[in-house]
Amino acid sequence: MKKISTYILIGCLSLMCLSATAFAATSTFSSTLKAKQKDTEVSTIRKATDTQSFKVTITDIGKDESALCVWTEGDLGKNFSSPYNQMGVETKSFDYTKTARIGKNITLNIDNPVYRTYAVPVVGEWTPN
Amino acid sequence: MQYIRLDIKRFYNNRLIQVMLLLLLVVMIASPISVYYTNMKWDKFAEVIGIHPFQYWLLMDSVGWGHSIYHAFFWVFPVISTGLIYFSEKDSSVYELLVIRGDKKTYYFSKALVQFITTFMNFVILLSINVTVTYMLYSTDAPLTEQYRYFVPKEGMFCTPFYNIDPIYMIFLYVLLNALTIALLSVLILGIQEIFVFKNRYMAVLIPFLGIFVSYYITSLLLNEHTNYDLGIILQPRATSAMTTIISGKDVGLVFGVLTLLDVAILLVGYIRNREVC
Repeated sequence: MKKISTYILIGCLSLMCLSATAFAATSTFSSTLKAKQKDTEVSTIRKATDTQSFKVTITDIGKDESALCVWTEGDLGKNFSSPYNQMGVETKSFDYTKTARIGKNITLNIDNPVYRTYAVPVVGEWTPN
Repeated sequence: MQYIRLDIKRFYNNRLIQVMLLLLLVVMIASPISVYYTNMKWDKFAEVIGIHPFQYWLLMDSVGWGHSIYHAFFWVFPVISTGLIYFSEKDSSVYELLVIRGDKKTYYFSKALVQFITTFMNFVILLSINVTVTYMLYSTDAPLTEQYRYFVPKEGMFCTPFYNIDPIYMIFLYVLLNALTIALLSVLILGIQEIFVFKNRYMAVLIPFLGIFVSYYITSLLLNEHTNYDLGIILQPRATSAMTTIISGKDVGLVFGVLTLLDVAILLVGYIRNREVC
């Protein structure tokens, strides 16, 4: 009985450790936006707070680009913010358009607004808050 | 004159062209309406993103589904715009009958002229309808938001002087450029159909389409370092605000000049190729 309780305790502690990394507040990304295809899903993080905005920092966009569309989605691919939000190489915060609760998986999407024949790299970091 | 009248009638009676125009008309009207009502569900949309019509006409609104359809089928429009009329005439005895009625030079000249004018007018009207619907839904008096600045063309771009007078002038500049491009490409497709003998209608559609699409794709990749000469980039108003390469009036003039010369050359080859008939 004592052995079983120990194993259960170890299991719970392991799960908590894994969950803690999944609740990481900020994530860096380095992605390639396909030549004009919507929805390049860049990164998914579980929300750690009830703040109703997310923050993105873009540090580098491929040469020749100066603005990208940035938005978030939930688990089922439904938008959690407007895909009309845009940013350049800067840090910006954007409001969610529907309530995003603690524990919700939020996926950052980035899109290049110009149709091109080649991919565009993008580097940065973000937090769903 | 009789050839021109006959050709115009044949173009607008052509089922392929009618279906294409009807479907595009639906897209031009439905896209801004559905985008408007979808966006307005968020109560802060007007305050955060903005509701100036300049942000939402089809060629500018990269998020809208109408924009996606337009770009996905852009290289198909010139092919469908020929209606395969020349191919059908050549494949039957109609061609000989028509050429005998007048003269070959006039026949070929009329074909090219009507192809260009009808395609140009079709797309000017369609895109203008889209702009009109967009301007009816949104308001030019709406305050300009922080997000609006991402749509403003950069200094030095060929369209910036038009924008500075009023955004509507920049919009119609792009309407004319896009219509002109599709018209010139449709004349190019006509020329290809005059030069090569295709076994059936499907080849007469597929091979010219692949020809222009693959040619553009390769050219665009080669112009990686010189996107100011990339026709696909020049036609997109978002490129003037979302990209850093400056596209000047001279760049646009050069690209369209080359395209026009290519049209003339292909048409000449097509005419010479068919000189022996009748």
